[in-house]
Amino acid sequence: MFKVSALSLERNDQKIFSNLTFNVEAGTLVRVLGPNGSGKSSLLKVLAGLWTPSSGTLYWRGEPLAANAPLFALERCYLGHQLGLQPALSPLQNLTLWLQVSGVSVTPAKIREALELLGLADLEGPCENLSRGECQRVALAMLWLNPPVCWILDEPLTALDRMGIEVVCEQFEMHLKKGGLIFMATHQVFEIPSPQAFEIQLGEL
Amino acid sequence: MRHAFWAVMRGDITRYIQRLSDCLIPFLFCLMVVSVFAISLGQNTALLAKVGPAIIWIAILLALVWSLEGILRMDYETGSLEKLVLSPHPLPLLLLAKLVAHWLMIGVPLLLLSPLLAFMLGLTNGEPWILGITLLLGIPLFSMIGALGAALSIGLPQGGVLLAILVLPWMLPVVLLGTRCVAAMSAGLSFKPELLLLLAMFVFLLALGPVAISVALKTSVSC
Repeated sequence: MFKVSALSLERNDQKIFSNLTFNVEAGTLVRVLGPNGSGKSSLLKVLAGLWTPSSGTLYWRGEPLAANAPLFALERCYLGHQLGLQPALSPLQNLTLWLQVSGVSVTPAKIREALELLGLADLEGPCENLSRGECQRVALAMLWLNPPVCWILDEPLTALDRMGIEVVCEQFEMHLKKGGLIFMATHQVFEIPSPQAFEIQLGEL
Repeated sequence: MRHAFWAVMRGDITRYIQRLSDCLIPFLFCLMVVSVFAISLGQNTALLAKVGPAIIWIAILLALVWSLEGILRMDYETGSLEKLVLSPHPLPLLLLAKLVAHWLMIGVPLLLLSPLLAFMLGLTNGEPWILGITLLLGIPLFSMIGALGAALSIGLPQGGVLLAILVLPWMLPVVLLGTRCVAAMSAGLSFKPELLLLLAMFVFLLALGPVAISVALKTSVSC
């Protein structure tokens, strides 16, 4: 489903990673592992199409990404280290805005439901009053309101509490069962029963 | 696609309303600058009427320059820009929505202030009218030129000062045409050539500006 061949990235004359080749099928959880500064976030940005690699090609559904960009834009969701929430807007307003921008319209009732599932109490106040963990929940709720096939997540669990991690992991499991694909950079050890798991180890070059 | 345009515009307008100071500061700054001129040159009404249009244009230009960084800087810092870049919708369209929101919340109040500024500087007859018409074209031109500069300088530290130095020379032709338009009118000459040139610039930048900004932004975000 998602194929990468001979992918390399250089930034400021420094080699971040080189010659990565893999092919992952639907329903796979791909963990990107490596120590701090080993290029995990950079790899995810390249996979999301935000950065262009120095060399190598990405294939989505068998076609090069360059030829398949509009489809890929609809089917992937990238959640970076910066969550992309507008601090002055409320969680409800933020989700309405970003769902529209990512090409889907969801009713406010459904958005409210998703946020309540995550245990967020204050949905109307601005996001700048929320803690990092709460903001992360709001950003993650995007994923199950707008189920794109390919999730690309940079440290999605860092600021979450135990209950939050449980809810999120449940959603990950459901997504994988439905034939989704998850790329995730993480330091945390947790169990998601996944028929297929795949690991990319960075920082050993 | 239309929904995304409205959503981005509404989001930005809500943000401006939440931070009303962002809208008020350019407004008050402009009012203060013109007041200082009006008070200090108050006795010399002939001189004031002569330089009045230029003072108003420059005050509005300076007031706007400081607000331009806000169009993109905060979105860059929160990661919202990445979301816009990755959207399946055309980026120029989403950027145009942001520019329209900026125009509505910061540009229009300045435009509505201009008759008062004209009155303070003793501009008479048709001058406030023609000033308003040229500003109607000029303020969006400032926004687009400024947003292009902001997109180019967004990854750099100290963007604000750099941005002002970067974009002011490009805004000069707009100021020149705008003030000459009013000057021609008060001298009883035809102001049509200047106005048409201004209109041409506006149409040109309205068509190509958002595309140029999106290219600059993609380059800035992806390195």
